[in-house]
Amino acid sequence: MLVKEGKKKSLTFNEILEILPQRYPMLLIDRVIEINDKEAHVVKNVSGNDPFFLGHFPQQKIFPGVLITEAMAQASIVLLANSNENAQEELDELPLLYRTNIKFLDVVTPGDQLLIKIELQKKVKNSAIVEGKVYVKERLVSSGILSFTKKVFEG
Amino acid sequence: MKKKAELVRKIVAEVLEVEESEVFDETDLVEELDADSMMALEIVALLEKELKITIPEELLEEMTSVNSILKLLEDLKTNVG
Repeated sequence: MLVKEGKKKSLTFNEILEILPQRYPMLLIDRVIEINDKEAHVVKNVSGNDPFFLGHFPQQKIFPGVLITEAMAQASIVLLANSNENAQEELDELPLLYRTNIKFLDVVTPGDQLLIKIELQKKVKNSAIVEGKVYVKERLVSSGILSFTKKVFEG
Repeated sequence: MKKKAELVRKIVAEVLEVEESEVFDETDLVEELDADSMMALEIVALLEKELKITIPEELLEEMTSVNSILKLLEDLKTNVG
């Protein structure tokens, strides 16, 4: 695993692609600026050119709350992959959301840069709980808890 | 001890999305309140945060009622102390 090998402290977009199975238009993180076993700081740049703004909303562009949740989930998957000791497991297993409890405190619009801070709260063999906070500059725009359960996908 | 029982009952009710009045000391969380393994983990995470302790993964299966959770917490305390 890329992250494992050199114990990387940050990840580029291409390195994120190697960890996440998501692709356009569902890839919602751009760069990992800091990562260790317990925490990840991840950046997502919101562009007015993003496809979902076509319908959300035609008159006023607002970054959908579910996509903030998804961005937190993707940042969490990268963190969980980084804190996993068994490299082989990462390839076959995908953490899927079990429950989320998230507050949206302010709107996110084109031009904003999301700073997603994920902190691992509890991790056992097949599941994990993380706490996520999302900032635009110094402003907290969203925060909450996400629980994941790992599912094995074959072929 | 009494305070701890109240905390456990509150956390269990919150995670299982039931009223605290439905959670008795011996209520079987799995059989009667449909708890699953993810909920057990969520209960553990909240207990760890509130009580500033670490609960080993192997003990998850033993957490079947408020009383069994309290016993487990007591045992942990004894082992550490």
